[in-house]
Amino acid sequence: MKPVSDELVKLEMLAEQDTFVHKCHPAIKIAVTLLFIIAAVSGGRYDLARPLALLAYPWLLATLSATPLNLLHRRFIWALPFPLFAGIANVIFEQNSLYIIGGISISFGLVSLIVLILKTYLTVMAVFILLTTTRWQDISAILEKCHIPSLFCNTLTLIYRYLSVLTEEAWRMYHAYLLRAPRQKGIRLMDMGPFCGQLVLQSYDRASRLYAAMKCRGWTTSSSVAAKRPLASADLLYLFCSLCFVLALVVIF
Amino acid sequence: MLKTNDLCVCYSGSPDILQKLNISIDEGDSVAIVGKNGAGKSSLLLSLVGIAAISGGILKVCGLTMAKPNLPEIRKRTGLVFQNPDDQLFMPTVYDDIAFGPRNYGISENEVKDAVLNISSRFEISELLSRNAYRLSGGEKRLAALAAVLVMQPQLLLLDEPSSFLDPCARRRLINLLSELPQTKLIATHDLDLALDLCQRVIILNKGSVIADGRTADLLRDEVLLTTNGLELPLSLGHKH
Repeated sequence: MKPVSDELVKLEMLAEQDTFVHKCHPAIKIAVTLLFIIAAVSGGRYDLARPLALLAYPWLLATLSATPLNLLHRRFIWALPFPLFAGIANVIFEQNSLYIIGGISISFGLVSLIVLILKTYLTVMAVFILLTTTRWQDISAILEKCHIPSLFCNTLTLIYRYLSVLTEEAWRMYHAYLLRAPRQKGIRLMDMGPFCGQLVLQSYDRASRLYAAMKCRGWTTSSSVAAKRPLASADLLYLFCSLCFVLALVVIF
Repeated sequence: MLKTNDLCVCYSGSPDILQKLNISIDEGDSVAIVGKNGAGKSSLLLSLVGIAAISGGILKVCGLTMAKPNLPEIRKRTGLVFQNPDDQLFMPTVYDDIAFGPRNYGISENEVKDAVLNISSRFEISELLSRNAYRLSGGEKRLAALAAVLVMQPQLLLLDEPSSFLDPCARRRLINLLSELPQTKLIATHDLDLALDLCQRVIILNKGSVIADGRTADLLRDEVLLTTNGLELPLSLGHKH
């Protein structure tokens, strides 16, 4: 659990860097991310070339923004079961050959599974890179400006904050448990119920105190603490270059 | 600055934690609230910023009656430093955390920056501004939490167990810092030596009621009074184990 909360902090601290990508206007970065996701998911189910070509974009952006890809890949592993479970049935039911490479038959089902995993990878990486290059309060403020209800934005903000509280509490409780059960590996199934119940109560309590601390310092909405700045020509240049790059990849492949 | 008249505070479904409390604190006073665990010290502080619900009586903070329409103004004029700094520091960097309050009140970014740099240099935490609060030591977290509250220049400073989690050096540094602050201070603490150092007046709470209210030097010497209320003589006044 400690590594999880440590990595959450790492992801959040990455957004504080000072690269060209970090300095771009958050609205532009959100728009580019959305367009990239649309480009990534809109390819056909057996169209392997487009998602493979689009891999260049998150990798390039990660390099430009000094974001360590291995940190993002470790987080992506948590999302991997979803496309795997969604696409595994294709491998069983679609066994006709699409390609034969070196005498090995590659079925339609296998290609569609790979395409699904690649699309998930591209989507998750695009969101991760947005999060590691843009502060959460800035993202939330832009969402509010786009007339997404502030209740929704504030709930997202609080859930985002609650995640680190939850993992921290879980880490403390887990170690307190293990210290009193030294011969055991992990939490026994019969203790899981009370453990989870206590975890919810404790993290809820702590989250309430955090919320109270925010209210005491005048917090009303996420947008109130976001940095306010107008669009600059560099932002438009970033938007133009990103669009050209993504569109070129989509058109060529 | 602060006046309560038969103040009762309760959490939903529970009996009153504070019972008919009558306290009056003038501007510039430093008052310690002491009492054993569960005496109602933290609940009193939480009720002063509208977090713990008032179930009866009247409460006036900084000249404003405690009521929902007055809450934003009351919270602007008071600064509550929580017992555990981890409950208070939540932004990605210490800078953002200190800037959180001023930004919420719509202060321009240049003024926010000046205020943050000012308070951090006063507290000697300038080198921590770019760091994540999660990775600071207990003493550094305490100073950051205090700076995050004082940056809003509150008239009334509420401190809940300010010396908890601190080593002797950090504790002494905190006492020196607090003694230099001009604000009215209400300090809930078990650290009676800190109360002796910082407060001219002490209020002893037990089971939600005021047991004694008077000069710190007098009340904290009264061994019988302290013992019957779950406290001990401060170390500096000759407490022996």
